[in-house]
Amino acid sequence: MIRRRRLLKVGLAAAAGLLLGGHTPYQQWVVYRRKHLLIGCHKADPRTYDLAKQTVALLTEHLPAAKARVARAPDAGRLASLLGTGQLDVSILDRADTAAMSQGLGAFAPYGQTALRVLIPLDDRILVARADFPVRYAWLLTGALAGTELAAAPDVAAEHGVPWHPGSVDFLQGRPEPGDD
Amino acid sequence: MGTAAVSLADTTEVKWQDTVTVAKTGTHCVDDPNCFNRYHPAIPPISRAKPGQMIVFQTRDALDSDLTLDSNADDLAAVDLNLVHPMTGPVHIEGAKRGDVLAITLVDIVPDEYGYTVIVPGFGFLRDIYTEPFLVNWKLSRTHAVSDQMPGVKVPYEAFMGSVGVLPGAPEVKDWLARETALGSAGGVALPPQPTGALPTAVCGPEGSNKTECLRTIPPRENGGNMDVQQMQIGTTLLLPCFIDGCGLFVGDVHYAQGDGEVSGTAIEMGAVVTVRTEIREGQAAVIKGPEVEGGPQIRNMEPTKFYQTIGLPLKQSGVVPTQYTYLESKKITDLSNLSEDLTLAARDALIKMIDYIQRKHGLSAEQAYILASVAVDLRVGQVVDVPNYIVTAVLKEDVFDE
Repeated sequence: MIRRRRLLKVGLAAAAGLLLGGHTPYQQWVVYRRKHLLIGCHKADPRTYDLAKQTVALLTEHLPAAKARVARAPDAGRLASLLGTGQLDVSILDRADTAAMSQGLGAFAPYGQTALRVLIPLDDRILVARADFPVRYAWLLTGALAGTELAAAPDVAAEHGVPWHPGSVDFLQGRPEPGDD
Repeated sequence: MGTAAVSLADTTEVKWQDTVTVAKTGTHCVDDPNCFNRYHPAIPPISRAKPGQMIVFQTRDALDSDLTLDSNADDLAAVDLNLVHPMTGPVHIEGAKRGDVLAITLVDIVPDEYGYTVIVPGFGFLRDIYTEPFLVNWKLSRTHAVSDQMPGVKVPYEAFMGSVGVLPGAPEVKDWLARETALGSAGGVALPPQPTGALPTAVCGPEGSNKTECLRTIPPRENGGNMDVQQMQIGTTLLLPCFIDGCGLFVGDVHYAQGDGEVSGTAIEMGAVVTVRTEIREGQAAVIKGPEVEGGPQIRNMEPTKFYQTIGLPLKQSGVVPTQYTYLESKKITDLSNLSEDLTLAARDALIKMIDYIQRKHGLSAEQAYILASVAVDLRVGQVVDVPNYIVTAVLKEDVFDE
């Protein structure tokens, strides 16, 4: 794991923004969201905020190029809006919200289906990404967090309500860092 | 006087005002039929009012946000920017025709109890210097705003409508889109129509009837809109040319207080209940072609009893291009250390000096000082004749400090 993490010192610059297709009135916000990998969480589930702060601390240590920052939404519905419009790529959710958001059910119905993929389970929550999150970035993020106190021994065979991201699977199955998508 | 359990009519029950209320419903603009966030003449009125009637607009904050007193910069990063700016209306003013002027007198503003001022990454006058999000939460009353993030500061209540306007007509939409498209093509900051998140959906949304023509709310134009002019205080009268029959009056983005310049990009932003009264001035659009304001002692009443002023000159480092000039791609500007007759650069110089002063004298951080400048520092033109060095000054209302 330590050998792999050394690889994480390179790359992921601008990881946060390359997928930003969202249209904002203030175009300049895109600059910020290109500079930083935003880790979504929400107030209605304070545990996600705690985990987001810990995740950012770990990424700052192991993957500084990501320039990770916490982005706290008021509720999971806002996260669905941000993820669905490309204003956010990565978020922490509980299992129920992950499944319901991906299917556009219940409170997530107004936002439609949001295609999500598991990057890594974090304690009792899940770090998910948009389905089009680049394979290499998923590999790097999973690699930065796997083996830490938040994700001691992730099991790629475990079910989390949505599929694993292929980049995360690659890392957890020992495959080398992929090239850019 | 007695102890009767049943409340009887008292003076509160005596009414004389003829009022039309445009109510706020739902959590966000998208949930509210009385709310929209683009401009187009096809947007239907949601209410009608006669000249002289009190029109009460229940408005939302500029970001249509969920921010609260315990919000922090982490919450700012998750703001959904597709929701900017929620406007309440439009209201059809009976009898008003294209070519008339609508005189809008601001009668009252009742503030929410919460407001905020933010540094938005990539936005604001010094966006090249302040690149990280920063949030100040304000507790509001009808006298002062105070904040745990701004200890020792009390900002007086000087509320106004950050955005107020009328809908454009079809010719204006065509002309304004053309000029903004040309500016955007030249590299300037001009935002084209964007159907994503646009309201009302039926007109401006992705499948809307006029989705390629709906104007964005960020730039102020001849129809008013996001003017952010603090002198439009209670008691003043805003004059706007009317571009469609009924005008299509709207209000939103109310500011509790703001300095001239709104330098961080935001004032003390809040939701509020705004009351206005209108008057039609027939045919006056022939001479009043954009927003103009009639006022009384409001400007005098906003003046501080003590102040500190920095003097800005159009100076910069050679080899540096301030953000406002990058689209010109000018080597000439890059190499110069002194620009000619340049108010923008002079304003920047004055503001940076003022932020230095606030930090030095009052012990605030750079971010706090920038925020304070946005709500309590006025950028003022000193002179526009003494070539090449036009002067802009920054005037701090020292009254905001408790001591």
